[in-house]
Amino acid sequence: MPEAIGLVVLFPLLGFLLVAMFGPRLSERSAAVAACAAVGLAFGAAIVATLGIGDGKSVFNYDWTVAGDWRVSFGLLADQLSVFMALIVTGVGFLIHVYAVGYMAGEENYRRFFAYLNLFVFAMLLLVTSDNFVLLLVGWAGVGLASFLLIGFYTDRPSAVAAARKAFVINTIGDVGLLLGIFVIFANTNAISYARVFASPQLTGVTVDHNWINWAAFFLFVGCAAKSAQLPLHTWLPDAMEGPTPVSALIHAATMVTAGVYLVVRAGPIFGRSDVMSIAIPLLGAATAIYAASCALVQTDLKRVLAYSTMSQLGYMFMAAGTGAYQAALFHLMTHAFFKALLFLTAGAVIHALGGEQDMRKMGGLGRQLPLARGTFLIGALAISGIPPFAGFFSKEAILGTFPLLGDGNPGITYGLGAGGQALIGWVGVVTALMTSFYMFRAYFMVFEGRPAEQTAHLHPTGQAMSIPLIVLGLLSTIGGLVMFPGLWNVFGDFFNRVFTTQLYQNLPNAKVIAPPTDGLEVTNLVFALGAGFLGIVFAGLAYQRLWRNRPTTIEPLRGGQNFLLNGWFIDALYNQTIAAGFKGLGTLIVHGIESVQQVLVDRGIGGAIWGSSRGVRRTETGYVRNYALVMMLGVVAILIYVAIVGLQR
Amino acid sequence: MYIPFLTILVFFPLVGALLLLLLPRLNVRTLYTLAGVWALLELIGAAFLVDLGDYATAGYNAIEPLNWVPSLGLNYRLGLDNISAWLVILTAFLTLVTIVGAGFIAPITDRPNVFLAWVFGLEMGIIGVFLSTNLLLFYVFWEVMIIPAYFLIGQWGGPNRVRAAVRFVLYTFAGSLLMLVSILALVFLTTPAGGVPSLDFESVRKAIVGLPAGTQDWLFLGFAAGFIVKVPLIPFQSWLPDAYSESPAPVTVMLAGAMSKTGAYGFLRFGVFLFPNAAHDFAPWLAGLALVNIIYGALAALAQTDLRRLLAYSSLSHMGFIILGIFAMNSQGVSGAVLQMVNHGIVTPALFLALAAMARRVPSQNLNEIGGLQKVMPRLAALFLVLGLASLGLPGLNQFAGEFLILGGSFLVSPIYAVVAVVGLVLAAWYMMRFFQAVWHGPEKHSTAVQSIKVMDMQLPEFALFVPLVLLIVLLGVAPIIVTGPLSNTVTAWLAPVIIR
Repeated sequence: MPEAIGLVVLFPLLGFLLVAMFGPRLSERSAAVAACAAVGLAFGAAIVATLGIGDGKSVFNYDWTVAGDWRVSFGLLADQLSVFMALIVTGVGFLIHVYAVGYMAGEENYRRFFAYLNLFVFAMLLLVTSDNFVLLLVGWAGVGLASFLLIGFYTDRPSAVAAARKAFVINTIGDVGLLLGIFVIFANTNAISYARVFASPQLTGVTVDHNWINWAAFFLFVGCAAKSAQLPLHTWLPDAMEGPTPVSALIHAATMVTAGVYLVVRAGPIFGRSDVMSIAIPLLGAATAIYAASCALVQTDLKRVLAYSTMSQLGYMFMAAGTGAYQAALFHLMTHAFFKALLFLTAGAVIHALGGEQDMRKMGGLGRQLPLARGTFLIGALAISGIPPFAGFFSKEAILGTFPLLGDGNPGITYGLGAGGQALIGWVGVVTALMTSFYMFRAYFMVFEGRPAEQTAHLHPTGQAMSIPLIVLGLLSTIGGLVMFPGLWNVFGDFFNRVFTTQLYQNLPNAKVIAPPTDGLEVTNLVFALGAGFLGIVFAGLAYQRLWRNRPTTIEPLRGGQNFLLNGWFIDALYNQTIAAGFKGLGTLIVHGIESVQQVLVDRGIGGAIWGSSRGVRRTETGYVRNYALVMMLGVVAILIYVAIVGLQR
Repeated sequence: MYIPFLTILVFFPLVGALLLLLLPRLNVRTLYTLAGVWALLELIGAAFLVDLGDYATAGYNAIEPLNWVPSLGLNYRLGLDNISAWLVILTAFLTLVTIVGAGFIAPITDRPNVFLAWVFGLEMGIIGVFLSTNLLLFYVFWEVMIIPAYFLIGQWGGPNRVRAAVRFVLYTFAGSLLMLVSILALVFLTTPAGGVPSLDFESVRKAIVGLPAGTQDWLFLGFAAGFIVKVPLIPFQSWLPDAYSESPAPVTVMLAGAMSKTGAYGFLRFGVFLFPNAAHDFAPWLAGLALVNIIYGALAALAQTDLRRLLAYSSLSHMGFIILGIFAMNSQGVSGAVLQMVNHGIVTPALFLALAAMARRVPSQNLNEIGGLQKVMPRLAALFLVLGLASLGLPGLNQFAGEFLILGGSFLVSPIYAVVAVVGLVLAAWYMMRFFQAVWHGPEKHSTAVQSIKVMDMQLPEFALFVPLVLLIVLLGVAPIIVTGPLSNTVTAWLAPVIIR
């Protein structure tokens, strides 16, 4: 039954309130159990909502605000898209909660951590189950807040505090972008719920005005780019790795950062009709994919490799979603949630074992001591590299299969990208795939293979709470891709049929690419993508084979080009020195310049006379003179009024 | 039996003030309790004002005329619609907050009965402003407000209080003189030859339409001068940082929470509603000034290190949103502006009081001297977080609801307004988080400031004050329709002649 979606949202909220308000009175164990149970129950409710999925009508409606002819009603929606996202959020979220029970053991502020985690899950569920754009924005900002709190969880670390603030500010840019998008939509369709906006004649009519649709899509995408760390609003994500690793897995890999992809699909009836954004989003996605992959090549911090990798994979999703290949985008969203959560949690297990060390140059040969971590990392690396039969293979093929490499163009894409543009994106995808498998296996070799580095003698064991989620996610990353087997079956697509075969999506110009081709894989793409995947592994093996023999005892300084990539092409530094410094400079100018000058002028100028005269008398009359002066001034007013009125009477 | 309900509402605080002055010397606690009860009674009375049952109410719900000096046009005439109802309730509520704040959060023990009497006096002035429907009566209340405000700043404030108070009076006085000139000119211009002058809102409004456009503009500007200073808008803001930061926190609650709203309210009723044509002419300019306020205040807050001044500039920035909404001159903008007056009136006072609660424990209010306080005072940190988030407009909390309608309304007028204004929201996120993190997060600073912490986390009286405030912030964030619903038809009705012209 669709009403179960209410419980999906409610449980994490109750969990948050319980742990946040009564945290100090709860034992650490019961706080953790309560938080896990909240997400677990939400997962159960999400299953109920999925099984009893109704006709996609929104439930629990109420009027949020009203003004003039604007009426904003809030409600929850339990259609396929919502429950799919809710299942991922609560399912993967539950596993990560359980993992965190072990990972965070012994940390200060243990309960606070779980309260924040529940807050995040609540906001994320609000985001994906909202039936309108405004409630979506509430969830959108809520996950940003939770992200802020969790990135800056280690509050005494200045770097974590700064990273949290940066993430919050950049996400606020996204929020206000989304807000402006909402205004464009509201002003043009006079509606705010998905159902009414997408059915509005201003959007679906034969002769529609593309101008407003482009603006709406543009502003909405500003929100997507900030939330999903796409160029040029990506600089917060690598720094977000300051948060505890379960946070990176849940928020900055599996769920929150995919919100942008969700919105592009959800608002497909808008994005799919925007001629400008149908070209811009895939191109930006492709640019982000290859940019982030290039940065990942040289990172030395294990988590930053994964962060750039996440950004890069999100780029893939935007290539697909922006073009209209919604199933492929959602498919990759799901498998990525599995294998990237797996990779992060495995990285967490390694970092945990090493007592907090994240620098890969100080790791090595850990495979023997951490066999489970090695196994799960390997599964994750193979999955993300697109090696069959792991999950990433199927989803990446589904995306790359949309963009023919030889320039003949996808017959389904009649809108937006031309044949050349499609080929370009396809090739970027292939090259990125090569880079992906290279940097993943570089990380694998540096961490798990070769001779052990010195520091790896003493290892903390991986507890059960941490192992079980790793095993479950490992399993999902292995077989999760089989839900869509090209040419044979497409369980995934069948599930989404009810959404994507409605008029809302079928009337889109690119409706034919929503589902991946049913008659098997695009052969050229298959060959190149697979080749790229394997080649990357080989290159990584060749480049790092010396690690087998001896591990350098000193850490070599990075050279120019490496530095460039390590620092993300210095884009972050550029922002800091131009935009951020500019605003701060203006602020300083105002406070220490304009304000002071103005005050001096006022005090010495207009106020000078009164101020000066009263100062003279103050010695004798203890300052009460000014009070008399005030009364006199008011007396003057009274006389003025009187005189004026008397004058009028004559 | 005829009960002059509005009149009672205006003068009930004055009676309270007189009683406080006449009462024998009571101990401080009893005094504050009595005053609190008095303020609570006023609030309960005010709460009956909003016509909640029927959204259809437009125009005035109640009018109380009393021909005072009819031949002079000076009528004592009070009137109430749902716009003024919310603001009266807000003022009554903030008076209660001020008294609780002065009694328990940031105690004022120096001549408490005089202090409380002035607070009630200020309340009377502000409520009078919100209920006057005669121009001259409005002006009288407008001037009456200055006196208590002056004494509250000048006698109970910080080291520079006298300078702050004088500066405040100079500015407001200059502004209101220009308003007086406009009112007097209206008397001359609208009185028919040999007829009886009338300064009642309705009749003036009808008469104004007949005046030449240029005259309307000048009259409007006279009024605007008074309001600009009170809000204030740049470049007439320089009294504000001093007044807000030198006053004791409970007084800042009245100044920033309630008194600043009289300026915005004046712009709405005696600007937009009274001078529809002139308001149209000047709307782009005033919206522009509002945008300057938003950005200027936010930038200044970004560079401030003194926490009270930071909040003062933040308040300045947020007042810009309210003015922007008013001069969108559509239902969305105006409803949003009134909603935001209520929201800002809850969040900003709460922030100033929370800061005062912190200041009792940490003898520094400078960003550079404190840090890492969350460890010692986690509850106060949580309070600051919620208030900060509300202030920066986090969707789901109350200020967002107001900003949503304000920005939506101005977007309908011109998307550029909304695009510029949202820069202010991004800056707000930046300076608020900088503020929050600098105080509560980061490494503990081992300065003398932190070492001399006397009292630990929040105490019971603080919970009693802040919990209801936080609940209101959440409630109005989740269901702003509580405020905007009753406003809807009132605003549409008032705007009808403005939009049609």
